[in-house]
Amino acid sequence: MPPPIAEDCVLLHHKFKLFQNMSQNQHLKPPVEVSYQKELEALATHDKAPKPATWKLSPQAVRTFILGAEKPLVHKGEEITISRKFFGNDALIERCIVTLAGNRGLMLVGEPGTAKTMLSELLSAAICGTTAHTIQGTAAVTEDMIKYSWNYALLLAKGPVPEALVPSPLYVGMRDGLITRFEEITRCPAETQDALVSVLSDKVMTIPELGQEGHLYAKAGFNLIATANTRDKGVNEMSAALKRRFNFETVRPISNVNLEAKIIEQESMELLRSNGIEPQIDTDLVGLLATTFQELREGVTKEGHRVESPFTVMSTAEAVSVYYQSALSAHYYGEEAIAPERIVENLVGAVLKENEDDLGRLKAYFDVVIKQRAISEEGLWKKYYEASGRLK
Amino acid sequence: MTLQDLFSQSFNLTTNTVFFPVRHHSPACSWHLERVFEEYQPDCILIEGPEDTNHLNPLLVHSDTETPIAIYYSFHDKGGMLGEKDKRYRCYYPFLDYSPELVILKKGLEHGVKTEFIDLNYPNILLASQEQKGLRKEGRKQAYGDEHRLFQSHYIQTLCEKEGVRDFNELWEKHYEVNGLGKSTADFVHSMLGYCYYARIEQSEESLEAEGCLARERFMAEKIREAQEKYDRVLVVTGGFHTLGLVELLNAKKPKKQKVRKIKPEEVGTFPMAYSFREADQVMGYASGMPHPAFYQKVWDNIQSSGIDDAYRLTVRDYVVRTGRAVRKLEEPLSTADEIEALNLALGLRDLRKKRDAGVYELLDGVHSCFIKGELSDMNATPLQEMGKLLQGERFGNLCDEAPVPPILEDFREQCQKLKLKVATNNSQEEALSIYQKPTPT
Repeated sequence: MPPPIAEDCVLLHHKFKLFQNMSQNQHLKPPVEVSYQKELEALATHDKAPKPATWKLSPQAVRTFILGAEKPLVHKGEEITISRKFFGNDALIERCIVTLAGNRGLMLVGEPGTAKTMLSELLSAAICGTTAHTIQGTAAVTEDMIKYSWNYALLLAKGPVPEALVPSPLYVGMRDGLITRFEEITRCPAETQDALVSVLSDKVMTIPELGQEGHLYAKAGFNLIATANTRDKGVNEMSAALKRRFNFETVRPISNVNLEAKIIEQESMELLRSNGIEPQIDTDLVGLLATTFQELREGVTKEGHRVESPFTVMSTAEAVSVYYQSALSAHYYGEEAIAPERIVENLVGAVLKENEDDLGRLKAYFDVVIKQRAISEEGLWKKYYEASGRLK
Repeated sequence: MTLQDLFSQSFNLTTNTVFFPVRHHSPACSWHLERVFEEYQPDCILIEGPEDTNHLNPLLVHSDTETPIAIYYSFHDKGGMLGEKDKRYRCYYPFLDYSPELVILKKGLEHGVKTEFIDLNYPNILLASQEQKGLRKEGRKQAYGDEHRLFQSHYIQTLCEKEGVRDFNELWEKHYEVNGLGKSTADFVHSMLGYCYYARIEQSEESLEAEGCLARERFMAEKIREAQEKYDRVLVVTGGFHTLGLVELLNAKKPKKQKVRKIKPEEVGTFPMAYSFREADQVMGYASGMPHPAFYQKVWDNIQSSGIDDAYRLTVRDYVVRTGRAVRKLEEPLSTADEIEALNLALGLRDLRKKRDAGVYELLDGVHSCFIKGELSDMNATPLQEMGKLLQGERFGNLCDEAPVPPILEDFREQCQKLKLKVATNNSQEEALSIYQKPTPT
């Protein structure tokens, strides 16, 4: 057998590494409490401030977890940096934390892709160490999915006994004094949503089947974080009684181009790493993408001219997706660097979701704004404009 | 000069001159200034203010005079000494109940202490400033005690980020207004000086000269020197930005004198005038004085009636309730439960942010989260809008009867009274005139 050629060795080694990484990161997306386990442990060790009820960290430490700390903490001989995980509105985070320590639930509302879910996961992981107790709101959610259901075999065999009860995430949260998350609450039928009203006001769940013992009183530390997407069904249909049980926080899209570019960079790097690819971010291209998204979202260019915004939501999450897809294409199809053509192709995928006219709006943006910039600034903008020939 | 030197030289109550650094219209500065007056017992008080308006002082402190008031200063440059012939210039010097200058003016005159303004007069400040700099900047209302330099320095943004506050005003309220009330007066003055010192040292001599700042300090330093020869305990009350400049000038062996041009009396008009919270807010807004005048008025009133420990909490509570009522009047549903939660949120944020008490920012946050049901947009922002109006306030001041009123103003007021037109308001009014009614016999 001829000895392996140098290039083959490199390729083999790379494939082996990829395989190794993928089998280590068996989960597509590990929960927040696992991804940031070291940070949470480090914070807990150094946390001397008082904690409400069952909270794992004090409100101050929860704040530090989400907003980051300048100096790293030393934990088990290692220096742990507490990274900033949420950008753009520190006061919002503070209000969320104080709300969760109080009587009312927290309702995060906003457009899709503004990191509401991510925020609810961060808060939950920091406060009670888990994000597992989550109800996913869909149009098919029924009351037993919110409260409790039964193990029917046991039910038939032994009757309505506590062992036969299958607790919902809400039930577990109340029983153990943990945070329950309710994603996309407004997608649930209004009648089902209202099952929450008595739970949130009196903090008790009645289980009539258990007779005298059929009352679950929420343990201190229990609270609810709900998210609502305002593009689909807004909170307009939510009953006033239920709205009163929440403090509302509107999560806005990022309004600062540099901040958005930073987020695209950070998120893309993490996604690429979890795929076993060593990320090499093209910051100029990221800047280009961030500008595109800002301008199309706000409907105004950095020179101050109006553009027609696409109907579809141009969220930061979408921007990350565009970059990530482009980076993956470049990697797997053996390209040296991400070509602007790739960005444009993936941009079409991001924009063309709901409304056919959005393609026209995107074309108009390129033909007017990018063309002008290609002439005045040249360089990457010129390549970007030339790549827009791909828009069909 | 180091900060420590500045402090030990400027604020030593055993020496013959004490400098008290203020931010204009700051309740905390006023409160501490009153304490210094009690302790130091000055026999002369010198204040940063136009030296040619001292004749108006008795009117400003008169018991019948109610704030907000202002000194209106106009200058008609007939001869064009500033470059353009016949051009008119004007500026305002507002006073609120909690303005340190007014507070010390009252205290001084009440106790028979020699109290006066010692700053360069307005035309001379204009002369000493380059075009479009300082008070010669066009396009906005000018406030005499412009202190924009206090919050435009480079390190402010970094400081705000490190402190986890949104902007300079929140930083100020946290450390000086709210926390400042709990500090000893010496600590308060030290931290005031610290802030002003670092804001000052990064300014170049040229820019300070161009804005007329150094000219004013030279003039004031001379006045201080004169007073030091006659009096034993001189209290100097100026914007904190000037303290370093003044101390250095007084230490100098041969300080440069400021040339003062004589201005023809007929070219100058100085009048006390009734002012409003809204106007004060706008003028101060441009000069970036503290916003929300009605809020701090309430804080000041609460300090007088309930003491410093409860003043902020009571004010926040009061505003939560009043905002709730204002919103309910517009028939939007808001309950006492919402108000309770808003107050709880404000107090919780106070603890998280490690502030001594909840201030206007905690109030804004509380109302934001608890009064708004749904996604925040222009259509459901009523609670924030109503609260904004209440924070600014609608109050109008009143001058005592002895105040000179320009004839045209007197005539205007008489006409309005005859026609039953309301003038003491900032809002636009609608009046239906009874033009068909037969004239009532006079």
